[in-house]
Amino acid sequence: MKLNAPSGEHWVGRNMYKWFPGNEEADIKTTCSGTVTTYSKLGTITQQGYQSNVFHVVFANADECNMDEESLRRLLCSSGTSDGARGLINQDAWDLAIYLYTVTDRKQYQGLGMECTAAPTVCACVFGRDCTLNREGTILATEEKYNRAVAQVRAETPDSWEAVPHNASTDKSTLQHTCVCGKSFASVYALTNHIAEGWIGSSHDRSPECRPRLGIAYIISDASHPTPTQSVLAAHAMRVVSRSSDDEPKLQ
Amino acid sequence: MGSLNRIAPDNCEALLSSDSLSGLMGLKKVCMYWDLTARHGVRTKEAGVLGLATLHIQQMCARGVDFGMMHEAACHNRERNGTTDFSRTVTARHNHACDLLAGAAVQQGRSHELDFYGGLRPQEGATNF
Repeated sequence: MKLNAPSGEHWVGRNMYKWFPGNEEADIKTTCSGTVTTYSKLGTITQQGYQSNVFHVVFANADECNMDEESLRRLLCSSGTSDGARGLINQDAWDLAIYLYTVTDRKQYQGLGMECTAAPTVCACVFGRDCTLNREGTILATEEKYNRAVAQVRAETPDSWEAVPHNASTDKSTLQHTCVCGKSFASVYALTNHIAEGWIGSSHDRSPECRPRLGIAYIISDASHPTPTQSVLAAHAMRVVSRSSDDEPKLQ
Repeated sequence: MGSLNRIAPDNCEALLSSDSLSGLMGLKKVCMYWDLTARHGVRTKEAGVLGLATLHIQQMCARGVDFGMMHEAACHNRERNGTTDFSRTVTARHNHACDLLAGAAVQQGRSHELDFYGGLRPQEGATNF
């Protein structure tokens, strides 16, 4: 989309289709062609409050009107599209196009789920570049500190979560929901919104202790063995990384 | 899957029994059929790990291993649902043993807890998007 199209006398004589930008009910079925006949410089004040050239347009059905530069630009752009696309264009669509053009390469682009260099919707490593995920600048940057704090939780068995109460380190009267960036929130909802507002690659997440612990196990057995109790060929169990902030299947 | 790939002899039949229907569907959809668009693939959680599983399944298939999957109701769900039918079959008992093993494993590792936190770092197996 190019907004700085030539104006003034360059537009005189151009054909376009009648579509009044201010009319939300404008329909392709009622469109008729027209021609820009004359213009006068800076003759009107637009809705946006600035002076604009005034263009006089005569339509095929003998209607004629004056319109400002912005309105004329809308009509010319919509007239330049194919018939099918022209039917979709109205003032809302035009305003949306203007908005998208304005926010290109800004944070709002990511909010709309659009991919651009300044607001990627997926990590750069998807495209073969360096991964943007890291723990720098978070409360997890120093792993030893966090691990030491967790390890110091009182329990009968060291290095085990067995018999550790769920609220071992929290006081419900002052319960805060903390992001790894260091900010605390009074509710999960507020924390979730905070995380959702973060850019791709920014370091926001719920605290590690919010995640369920995940363990997996497998047994490989020979079904053709005559004795089921002796059919086991291999067995293994391990705790694995928990990645999702939502509850993952617990295999226990 | 890697262990199964190492143990399974050529031209045998490998049957994967699990109480996790979502896990089986993930294997089926991602590893066996891969009927995902690139966009869905990028946004599939555990896609890296599933990609490694895909590699093992393909290697087994190349060796003539018939790979199949079946759902086995979890032991704790059988009791919850009020029926213990088929709970004494070999696969059901193995499934119960897996339950207990995983339950024991999940309690470990408190002294290096951050090793099991997957946030803010790429997945171990996610290098092959």
